[in-house]
Amino acid sequence: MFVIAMNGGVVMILDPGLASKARDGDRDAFAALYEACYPELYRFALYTLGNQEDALDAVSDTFLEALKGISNLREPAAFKGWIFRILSVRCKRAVGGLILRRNTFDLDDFVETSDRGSASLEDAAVDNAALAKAIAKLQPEERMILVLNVLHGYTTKEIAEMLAKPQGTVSSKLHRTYGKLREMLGGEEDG
Amino acid sequence: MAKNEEEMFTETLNQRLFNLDQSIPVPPMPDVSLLFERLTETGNKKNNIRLFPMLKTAAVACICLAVLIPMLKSGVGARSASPQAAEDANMLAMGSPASYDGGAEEEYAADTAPRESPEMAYQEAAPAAGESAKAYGRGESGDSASVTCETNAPEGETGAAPSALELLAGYFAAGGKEVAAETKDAEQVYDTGKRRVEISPTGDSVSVLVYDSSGQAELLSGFWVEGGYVSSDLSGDGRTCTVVVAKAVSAAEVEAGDFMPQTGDLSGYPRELLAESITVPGAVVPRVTMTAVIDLYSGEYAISAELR
Repeated sequence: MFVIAMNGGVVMILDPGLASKARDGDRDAFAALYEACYPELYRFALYTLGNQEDALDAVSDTFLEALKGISNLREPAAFKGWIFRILSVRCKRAVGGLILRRNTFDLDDFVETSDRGSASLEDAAVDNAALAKAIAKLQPEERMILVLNVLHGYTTKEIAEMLAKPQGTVSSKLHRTYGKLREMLGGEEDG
Repeated sequence: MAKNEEEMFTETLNQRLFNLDQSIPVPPMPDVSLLFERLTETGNKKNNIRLFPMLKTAAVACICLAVLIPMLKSGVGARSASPQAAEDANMLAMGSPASYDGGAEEEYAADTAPRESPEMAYQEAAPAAGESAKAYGRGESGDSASVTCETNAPEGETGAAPSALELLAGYFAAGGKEVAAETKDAEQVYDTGKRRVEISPTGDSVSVLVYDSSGQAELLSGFWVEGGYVSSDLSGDGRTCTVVVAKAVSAAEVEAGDFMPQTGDLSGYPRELLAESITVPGAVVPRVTMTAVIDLYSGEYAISAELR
């Protein structure tokens, strides 16, 4: 697998050979995929569901579903998109539970509080907390679209396929999400 | 110029998102062998009991058909014979598949506009930047049968009405007692064929989930309101759902200046209804009654609050 730098961040590209082996029943290969994808899937679920507990459940169910269904995966190179699709369906199902259990967005799950030591780390933590707070005010689907587009590099067309939405809807939601964030964070940046 | 600013903002925001993403603490990964175990467990269960549910399903299906066919035959006959059948929109509440048939959006919007609340604005459309959700008074004269303290309608020199908090403080100061809200625990489900509304009292709040059942039963909208479930109804040919929730106000809450119920939506970010927007219809009752009107087409909803 490769890790490439993109806009200062990192996006993981998986080795299709691993997915191919996993599809053929190689458990070590599946374990390697699991290890490689877990952090990204966890973060995606966390953005969508807003708290660690729900995110861990969604990721665990996703891997189980992937394990059950990987023998049917037609294109091993598309493993990452495939597993994100499973996770996004899981997250969409879990979103109703946020209402039923009155689960709230837990900012503590987003911001590392233990390793603050210097002023710059402190500033970074404050900056991250402000952004996480703004993200908390978005709707789950808006968060999904934003994260898939910005952090995982999917196009609106690919996201539309993943979320079973028209591409126009995804594009307009992405645009609106930026608008909302701009409104929420704009004042802070001006100041 | 504006476009450049927008692009710069987007670039900065994306960078910040990357920074946040990389700083998110990821909890330890559960051992992959647990997944394999779970897979084996579910596989074994399936194999062991596969035959039984199939037989059970077949038997149940036979019984259902035997019972339903005569019922459907007589039901269809009775319905077509009734001249009011088409107008009986509330029948939709009982899960009848007949529903609004996707009429023109304008017609739909006109039909579903809350008729008695022109001031109503949709909460979801409001910018959520750290503001409380607005509750709009409906200006109706509510039934205030349990009122023990008449409103001393403020005709002060300034003309400013006392706040709900002041009225409630006056109520308790005058010896008024707490009044429990009469609520129900039962869940309520409406299925219009295209929309499914699930109303669930969950302890100290009521959750409302609206599913688009025309496709993959996707969640269209959802919110919760603090309080107990009082009633609900479908109207406008099943295009609007109204949910009434009540929360008793205690003397202690009034003393602390914090009696307004909270509400939350799918963002998981709770807000308090604005005390300034609460309506006091005629007399003070220590109970906030909230009416959520949901447009089942769009999933948008508005919550109004009254002291009644």
